[in-house]
Amino acid sequence: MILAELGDQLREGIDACKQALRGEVLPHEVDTWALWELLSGLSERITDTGDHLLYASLMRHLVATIRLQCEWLRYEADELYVDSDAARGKIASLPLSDLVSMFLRSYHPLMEIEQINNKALTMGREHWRRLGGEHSEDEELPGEFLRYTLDSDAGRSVLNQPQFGELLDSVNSELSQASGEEGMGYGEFITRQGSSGFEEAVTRGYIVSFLISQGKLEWIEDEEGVRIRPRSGQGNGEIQSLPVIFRKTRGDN
Amino acid sequence: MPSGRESSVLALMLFRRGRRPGAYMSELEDICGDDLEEILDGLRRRLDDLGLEMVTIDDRGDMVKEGKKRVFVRARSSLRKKDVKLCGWDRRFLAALAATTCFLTSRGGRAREAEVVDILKTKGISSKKIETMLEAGYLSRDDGVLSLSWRALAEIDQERLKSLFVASGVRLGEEENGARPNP
Repeated sequence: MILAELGDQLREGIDACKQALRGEVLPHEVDTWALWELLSGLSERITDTGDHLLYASLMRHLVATIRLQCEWLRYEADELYVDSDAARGKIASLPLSDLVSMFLRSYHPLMEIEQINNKALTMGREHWRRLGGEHSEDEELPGEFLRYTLDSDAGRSVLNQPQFGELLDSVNSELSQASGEEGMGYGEFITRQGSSGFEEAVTRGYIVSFLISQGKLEWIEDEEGVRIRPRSGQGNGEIQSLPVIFRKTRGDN
Repeated sequence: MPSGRESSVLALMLFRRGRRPGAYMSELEDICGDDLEEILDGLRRRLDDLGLEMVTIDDRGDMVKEGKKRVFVRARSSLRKKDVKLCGWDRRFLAALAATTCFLTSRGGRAREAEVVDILKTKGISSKKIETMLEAGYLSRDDGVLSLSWRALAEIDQERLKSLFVASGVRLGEEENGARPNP
């Protein structure tokens, strides 16, 4: 360990260079010439691996610091040298619009093209397929939506109709006549066994949902599917919510 | 019609690979060999017709390492105010970029992050914009120091920005005639 007595000097040199490279001190504040003399005097004397590492580390940082000094010298010699303290004050005092305007006059956006490969294309298709639901490709997404909520215009227009109560009664009695104790398939009922149009099915679905939520109809789900039937007795008085989703497939009217 | 090698060179410069467009000069040399200068001259003329130009920067992420030349294609003229929306950044981000680059340019391209945060605060801009600038390649961060990075070096004409900055507040608006033209 020839460098035992000089190790601290090397470490101090490395720290000084690092400070300059981090911008904590100005580059010319580092005495690079003294560090160079220190290193050149040691080059023949070191044998230990650890010493080599310390020596190489200081050399590497010294080179970077000298390069920074060159750049700094060139920058300070520039006719447009801007004192950084003055710059800070000027930026603070200038209106933001002036800064942006100044910036835009020196701004030349890069031109770039994003490329897509087979893998990215496949991933993109898969992403959109999942977003659209797990349906096969011969199905298309619903082209029209009728959304009935209490706050929506569509919902209000139905609820405000004077015949709304009659509509409820007629749907209720229709179900009572059409189904026995077993009840009737939900889909068959609201689509009139497939003969209704899309709009009528949505309206009947809404009415059925309303009647179920009011406890007038009963909702049964078993291995045969979903059935509805008029509720026998008073029920437990619990309000139920029934979301209704329609998907219009290709070829439907 | 551009030749096969011209097309390859242009594709290398324009297509984004990873997060950045552009090509290293060594890659272009591999394609063009000894004809590189001739091919680049031909491309320069074609790009010039489209209002574009090639720019070469010394791509050095670290002061300690040797840099490598990287070539990009950019708009020849600076951005007009009415075209700001086309560049894809919102005005708030451009304001942050303007304040940051003005300050860093005045500091020779690098400054401590805390100082940049202070500058942004004086303009009422959130320091979170620094992260966006880092991601976009305008800045690089090393041990608490922010430096202008590859995108800033390629897109911002620092000499012009400095000249505008020096002239600002003195006779802002008159400097246009005396400003140094774009390279």
